[in-house]
Amino acid sequence: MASDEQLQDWRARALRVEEEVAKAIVGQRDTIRLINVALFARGHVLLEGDVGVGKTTILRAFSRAIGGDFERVEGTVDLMPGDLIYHTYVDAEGKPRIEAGPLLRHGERLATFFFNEINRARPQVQSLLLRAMAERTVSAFNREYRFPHMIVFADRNRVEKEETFELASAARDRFMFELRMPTPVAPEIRRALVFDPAFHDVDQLIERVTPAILPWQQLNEIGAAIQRSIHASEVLERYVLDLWDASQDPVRFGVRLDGVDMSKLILAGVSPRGMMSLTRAARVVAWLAGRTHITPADIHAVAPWTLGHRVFFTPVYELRRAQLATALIEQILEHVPTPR
Amino acid sequence: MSVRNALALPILLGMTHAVAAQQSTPAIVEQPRPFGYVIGDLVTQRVLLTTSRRDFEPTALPPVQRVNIWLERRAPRIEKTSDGRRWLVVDYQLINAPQALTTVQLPAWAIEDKSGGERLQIPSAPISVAPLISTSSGADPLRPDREPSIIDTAPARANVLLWSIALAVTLAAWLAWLQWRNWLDSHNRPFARALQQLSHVDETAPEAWQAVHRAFDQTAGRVLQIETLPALFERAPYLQPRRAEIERFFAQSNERFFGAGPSGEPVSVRALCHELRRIERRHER
Repeated sequence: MASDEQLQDWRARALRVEEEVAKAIVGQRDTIRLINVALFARGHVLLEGDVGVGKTTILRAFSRAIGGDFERVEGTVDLMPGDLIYHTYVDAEGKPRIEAGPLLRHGERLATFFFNEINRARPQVQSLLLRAMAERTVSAFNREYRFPHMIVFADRNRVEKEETFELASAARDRFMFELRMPTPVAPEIRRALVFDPAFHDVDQLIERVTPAILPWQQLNEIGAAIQRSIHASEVLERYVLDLWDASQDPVRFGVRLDGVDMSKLILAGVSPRGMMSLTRAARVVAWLAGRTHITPADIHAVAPWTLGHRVFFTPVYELRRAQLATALIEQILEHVPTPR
Repeated sequence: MSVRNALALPILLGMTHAVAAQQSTPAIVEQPRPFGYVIGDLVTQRVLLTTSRRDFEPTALPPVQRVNIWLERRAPRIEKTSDGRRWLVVDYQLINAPQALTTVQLPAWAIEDKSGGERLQIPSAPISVAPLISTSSGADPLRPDREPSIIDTAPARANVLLWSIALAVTLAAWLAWLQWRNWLDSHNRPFARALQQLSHVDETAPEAWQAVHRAFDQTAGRVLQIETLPALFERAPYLQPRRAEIERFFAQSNERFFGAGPSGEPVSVRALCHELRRIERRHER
């Protein structure tokens, strides 16, 4: 079991990961912090944003900083589940060969699996990934492959909708965070991104990040140690349970949204897995802040990204999800009282 | 006839004519009724200006003046009747009262034509003037005032009384409602309510702290944490002077409810609440 000193040491390393990634990515401090939180809470991350904001770059930078083996798959409409498991080809001697696919190739050394443009892959591929994400195992070649250290980073752009397959709600629920990566607005950052040649060569940019800062094999253990060592008071537990209730019945807490019939808005509230993710992530936020207990601020720091994609709206409001989910979680955080 | 004689004749004729023109003509006068006047009455004399030959154009109208001890002449005027004749109308007002029946003379006067040829002579006219009251012995010098008839004012007074009471009741009810609403409003203010709740519990009890938290939430219009305190001061800038105490309360509350327990001297929530209630009340006015 990790001691307090070890946790302190790991905290310094975690903060260093953020610094290293920030060398390659400018103007995305919040996104970097949240991905780091997911990493130590052992949760998968779905990154969404406009085209060309640096989604792939930030995930590649993290993969490099974490160390361990890294695999990357491009989501395409003709990608089939088998393509992740095995690879067939004819070798130089003209003999057919079958080799392990990207998911199995690294065995237990696989630390980051990066699925680019996940919504271009067919639902069959997504289901395979679901199992890999939830259980960190895949059955193939009559045996079970395990990847206990794997974290899935996926991204999708929110501009294109053609030839894409929207992720099923069960698939989205597997991701700890669904992050929205904004286009930087600060003028000096925008200018640097456009005119500074350093940002034009992504490979060189990624090389700025010191590789393998974290002993990735220990991440599961340290993640568990963080969860054990950060305390949640009874009042905070009540607060989290109230938030859960509010996601199912927001009207009870006086939550109102303009132009929305609140009684017809919610189809289902946040899942138990969602609330689990919330407290896991909040514990990591508290740990990164050097505290031994969770405060409501830790919950607030991660709630929009853990709960937003886990509330299910009735079909009439589902089309306005992006706008309503953000407003709903914001209102819930403003209306659920604590300490109570 | 000599030349001188020949010249003298027209002159003589002219002189004769001039003498004839200067002649006074008794005017046609409608004299006033000669009897039955008392003090204050108007006596009207009318002089016909239209003669058979020509229209008489007076050089000047008789002046407005007191003509004798009895009478005062008013401004004369010229009136034209429907038959085309012009009359000079002169009004006199009787301004004195005799002790007994007396004959008073309207004075004689004259007016001249503008052409200087004619002069109308208006003769004096007697009128009899009587006193208003008899001075003979035995008669009352003055009659007493007539008794005014008594109008029954009871219904009107009852009406006024009734409506006054109704008005007073309405005003009183309105004032009472206003006071009650202000009182209710003031007692429903966040820190007033918190103070009421604090009166039932020990100030170190969690309920006391939670009551103050709810008062802050209500003031800010959202649930507040130490990180979201700026929202409170944005919404209620009048609490700004107590910012340090409020921040200390939130920090201690964070430690107490979510952390390892309070450290250092705990904030007196009752004193804080009293102070904030005082500021809140001052701000209401």
